[in-house]
Amino acid sequence: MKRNFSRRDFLRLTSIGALAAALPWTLEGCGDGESPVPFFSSSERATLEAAAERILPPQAAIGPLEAGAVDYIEGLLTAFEYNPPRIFAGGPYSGRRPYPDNATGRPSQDYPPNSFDRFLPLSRVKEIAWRVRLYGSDSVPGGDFNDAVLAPTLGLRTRYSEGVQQLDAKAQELFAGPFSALTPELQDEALLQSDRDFAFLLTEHLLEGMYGDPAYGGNRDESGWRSVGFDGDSQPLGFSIYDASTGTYKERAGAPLSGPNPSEDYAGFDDEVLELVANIVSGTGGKRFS
Amino acid sequence: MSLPSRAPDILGETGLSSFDAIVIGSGAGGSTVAYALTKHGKNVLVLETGDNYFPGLDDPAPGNPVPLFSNDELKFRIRHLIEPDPLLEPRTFRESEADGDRAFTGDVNGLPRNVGGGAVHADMKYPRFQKTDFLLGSLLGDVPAANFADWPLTYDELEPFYTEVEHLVGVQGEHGSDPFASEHSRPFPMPPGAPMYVALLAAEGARKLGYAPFPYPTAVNSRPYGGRPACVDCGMCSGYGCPNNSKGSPAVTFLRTALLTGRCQLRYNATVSRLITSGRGASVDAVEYIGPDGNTQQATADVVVLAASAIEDARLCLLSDADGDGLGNASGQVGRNLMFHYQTTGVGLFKQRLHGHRGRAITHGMSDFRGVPGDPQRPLAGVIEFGASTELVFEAKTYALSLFQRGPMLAKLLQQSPLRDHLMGLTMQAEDAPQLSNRVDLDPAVRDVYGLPVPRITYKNHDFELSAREFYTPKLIELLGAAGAQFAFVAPPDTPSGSRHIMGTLRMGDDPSSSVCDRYGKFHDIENLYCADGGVFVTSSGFNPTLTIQALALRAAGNIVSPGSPERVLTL
Repeated sequence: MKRNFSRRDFLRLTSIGALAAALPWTLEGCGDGESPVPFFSSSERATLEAAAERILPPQAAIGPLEAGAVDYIEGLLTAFEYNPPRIFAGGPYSGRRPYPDNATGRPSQDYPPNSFDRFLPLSRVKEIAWRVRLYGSDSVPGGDFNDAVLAPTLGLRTRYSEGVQQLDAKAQELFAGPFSALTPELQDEALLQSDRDFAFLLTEHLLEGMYGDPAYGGNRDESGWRSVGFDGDSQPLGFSIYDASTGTYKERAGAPLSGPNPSEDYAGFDDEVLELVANIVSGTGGKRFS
Repeated sequence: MSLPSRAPDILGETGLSSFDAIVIGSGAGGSTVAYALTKHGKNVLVLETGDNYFPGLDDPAPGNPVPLFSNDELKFRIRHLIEPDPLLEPRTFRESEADGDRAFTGDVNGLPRNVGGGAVHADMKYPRFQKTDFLLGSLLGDVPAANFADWPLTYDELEPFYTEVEHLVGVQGEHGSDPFASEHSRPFPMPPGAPMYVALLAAEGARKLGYAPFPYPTAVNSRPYGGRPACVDCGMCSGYGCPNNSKGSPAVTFLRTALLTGRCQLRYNATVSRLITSGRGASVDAVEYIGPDGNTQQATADVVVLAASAIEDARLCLLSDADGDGLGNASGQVGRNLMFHYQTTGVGLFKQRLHGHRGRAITHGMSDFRGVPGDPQRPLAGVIEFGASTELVFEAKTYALSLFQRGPMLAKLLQQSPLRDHLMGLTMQAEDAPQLSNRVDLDPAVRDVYGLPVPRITYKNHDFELSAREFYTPKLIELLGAAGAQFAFVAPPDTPSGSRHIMGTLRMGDDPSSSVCDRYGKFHDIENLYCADGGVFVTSSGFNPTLTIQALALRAAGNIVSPGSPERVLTL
């Protein structure tokens, strides 16, 4: 992969490179309730939030801002400032859904504790993988084992720093202002003309932040799930409850397993969606039945 | 620069210091072997390369283990909690030598690395193979460029092992409901659980066309069984570890039983790097592995069992004889005949919401497209799974990154959800013709985090499965239409294949010149080395492989306990 001279390359060439590489290891992890130093400055954050709103505008009054999608990205990039690192949320249950009552086949009033917020300790090699992903393969001891064959892995932190900077630079170059201050139309234009890889990276993480579990900092209060009508995590209740008294199942009235939704509309898709779907179907040699 | 310390990565009896057997891999095959050997008084060491997400697996108190699995798409599908992380353990792929050293590096058919193995991510579809599946060499005759052969055992010989496994893990199903299934000596131990809406619609469509849909045999509890609760149909099943142990996963069935005997020790985060042999490779003296701290250690036992999955088993044979042709490879077959199921997915889009995210991924299927060997009107393909398992983040990324939608249109697609909430997926698991040229070897340059050469997959489809796909494609589309789809199409195939059904590479057979292992999974060339997973498969069949892996593993263990009379491990 060809790329421009970066901050990472600079660090390699100077004596502070070794220190910078060691830094993640020497940081004391934050305990519960402590906040690490934010990765993004307030102006970087403003740029990202503005871009996020253009990529995925609010639906039912919930957009990336309301759902905290940029908080999700911030959380990913600062994962190693917590101990254990905030990479894999715990399990088995979020504490948001109750246990089933198998004596009656109905939901109980008993809720499990939230174990999602107890992040899992990383094994030696998983720690290498995630440090490489965040800090880059040449900044992590033991992380550069394929760099000579496959090219180095650029760390996400570097990609975000540089990506935001370039997006603002593009806004400045085209429209003489910081990205966040542009009109939505000009923001769209700046995004279109900016680095495509970064726009994809941001989109990918934005969608994870909207629709991933709230434990990772986005999808605040399940707002992302609500905005698209998704049930979210369902354990330990699930969608069918074994009734020991009859040896059969009961389903949840509002969220059936075996039949259509109670208030289901059969309206299908609107014209624009229909057109997109029809294109996919004809492009793959499929068939329209109705 | 020290890394945070962790507790010693050991489960089971830590006091054991000498072992009758070492089992490499704690998945479907390895767990089953550990279960049968410990039951018969042997001391077993299990080495598992991945981490443990079943704290309490070796704690006899009821309610254990309490898994660290959850309904969390990011952890499982995006961040590689259980799947091999391509930054740590990439594999390489090419279609043929014409591609050069490699055409792709990354995830190639990776199975989960964790205590419990690949089956942790499975939604536990547990069909048996059919009688004719063991006889394709005879029934198909010569298929040019393919390497079909009969298995060195029959369905009837395997039947009692199938039955035993079905009862030990707990399989739900409806006896006699698949008219194409070969005979079962006992009914399933549990009736089918609650059906999914999407599956009922597909089944209705199938019946209209004269097909015979049935509730899918599945190793998921439809009622409390084996000290584990009934499944609640949470929906995050395929690709996910089970949060409440209602999946009859090898870890919570065979492996837990083995660990509780006091005769089993399981070391995890322990990556086997080499088998050390003596007597010109005639026997394995020791197993070398890289422990949790990164240091190399050795373990010894009378018998060594490979159960690390077909690709990793073959890789280990090649790593263990770096200057030669590979361990146990007098036949030249090690690593060859690699098979995946050739998966074809028919996609139906419905006007109404199908909420396929509720349920245990697949509740129904049909065997009508499995075909009949040698009948051109009914070519051999495979079972059809009636399902719908797209997930929300995946769906969103499909619109944004594959279909390039953004702004109001992206928002609208997420609201209307054509490719998730309105989607029915019919997946055909078709027979994949064995070919000598489809193989595993060692990549010449790419390494894993342990410094070991990674497996390189050289794989190209045979006309056998390509023409079956072509034959059944219009029938899949017709079936989706009969089920009520507004639109139907067949998804383009993946290259490299996304299949997680991995078979062949250490084929079993009676003739040592054309097979690696004998009829029990023992290496022809090596007196104390066995394979007990999909590596020994001769052909792939058209049915999910895990039950057959476990039936063969139970039989292999039976042969270790009482050579020539493996049925003596059976209890039913």
